[in-house]
Amino acid sequence: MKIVQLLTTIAFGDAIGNDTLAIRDFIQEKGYETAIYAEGIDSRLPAGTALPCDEMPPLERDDILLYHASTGTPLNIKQLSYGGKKVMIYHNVTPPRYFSGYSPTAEDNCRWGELQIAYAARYVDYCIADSEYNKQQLLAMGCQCPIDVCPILIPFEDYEKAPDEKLLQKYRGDGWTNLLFVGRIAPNKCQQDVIRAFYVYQKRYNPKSRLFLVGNGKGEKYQQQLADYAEQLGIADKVIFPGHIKFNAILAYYHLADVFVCMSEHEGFCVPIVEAMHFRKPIVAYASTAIPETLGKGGLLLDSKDPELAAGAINRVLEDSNLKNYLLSQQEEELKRFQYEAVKARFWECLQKML
Amino acid sequence: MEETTVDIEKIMEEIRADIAKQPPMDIPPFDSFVSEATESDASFSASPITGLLKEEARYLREHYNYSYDSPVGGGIRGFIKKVIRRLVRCVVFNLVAHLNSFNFCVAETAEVTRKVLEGQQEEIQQLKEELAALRQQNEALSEQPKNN
Repeated sequence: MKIVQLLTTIAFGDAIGNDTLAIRDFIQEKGYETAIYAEGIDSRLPAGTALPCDEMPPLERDDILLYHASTGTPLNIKQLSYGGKKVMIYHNVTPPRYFSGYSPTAEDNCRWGELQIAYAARYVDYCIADSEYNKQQLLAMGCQCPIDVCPILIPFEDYEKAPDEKLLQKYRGDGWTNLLFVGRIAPNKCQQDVIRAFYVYQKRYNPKSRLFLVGNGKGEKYQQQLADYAEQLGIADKVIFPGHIKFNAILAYYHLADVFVCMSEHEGFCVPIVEAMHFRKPIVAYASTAIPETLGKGGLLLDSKDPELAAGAINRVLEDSNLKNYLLSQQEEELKRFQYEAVKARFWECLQKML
Repeated sequence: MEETTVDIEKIMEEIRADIAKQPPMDIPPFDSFVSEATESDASFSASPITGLLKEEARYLREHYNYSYDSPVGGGIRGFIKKVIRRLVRCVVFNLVAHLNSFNFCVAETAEVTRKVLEGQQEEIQQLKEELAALRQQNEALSEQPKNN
């Protein structure tokens, strides 16, 4: 019996890519034959990590196909024609309206993705959703097969690797406060609201502060608008866009951060929030979609996008050691849900329903 | 170690109260950076031909899926229908799935075709305007007296 994974693109270093690799390792540990097939394979991945879709052998009735659904692609429909038992791992599709005015291609992609996945959800045998939020979306789409929730597998041991020393030396120990958000520079992640909160924070509470917006968005219209916006607000020198950086540089930014700020309006899970908890950084986040579920009591949740409220919350979390220590202790509790062994056990519980 | 409990709601109220005491900050909105593309896209949907196709494409997208499980009603008749459905399910279900898959591709193709036509409409309009401008220039030149 084979258990194979299929997805449209396996990227290097992103949440879905890492989840796919972790699931592969787990299935191998359990002694099953497994492989990853994808239409697009990031060249930075070691050779042989994944194979092209065309090379996938026919699946037998007892084989299991784990399909990662996260975007618009004909593969969302085509995967239904492969043999074996169909399991859809649903990571969520960004609502197309966020790309309106920025990228017609991305907007179309997301629109089709919603339709395709709603269609596919009616014909698969079982769904695994990253979050309760994603599960509710599947139900709203008309999915009638059993759906279970299992968080993304996060390899925490990778975060123990050495951070970029040069970056640490550049920014550490200068007495400045560092705000951080990690996530692709994309309209649904609302980096402009993080900039607005930072603007109020550095003007009203602490001029000696800077904001790191870590994520890839080079060449995108939205990133240019963010940079122009920071310029207009007079804080361009304090808002840093590191761009697409190596993993050890991302680690360095987490180490440097004093607080993690998230104003995203759409997340199916939000791995960076779990990462911030792992690095014991206090978190201030806008309560949207799956964020309250992932964060739990591990941070301050905002019920509005008011930049003054966000800045006030950021300042409070940094100035009030009682509050900060309390939130960090709550984070330790919340992290238990995402520990590798706990999630592996949960995933195995889900997979056994298909075996 | 004694666990400290913190009242988060109270803290948020305190933050709000603190903000209320301060003069509000006037921050330029991000929406002022609306891209030019948003404004020019509006002209596409105004085209008469593609405007019609838009409705057809939308209809296809909303109605492509045939449902195998329509209600059969109650009573003996409903029971017999359910039994028959169960017996032929293994054949019919696959047929319906393939049909819906084909319908879906048709809907997708219609949408892509509509967008191609939209783009061509815009191009034709631009060429017409350029042609009109060139004709005007030509007429103006031919009316000028020749200086020799």
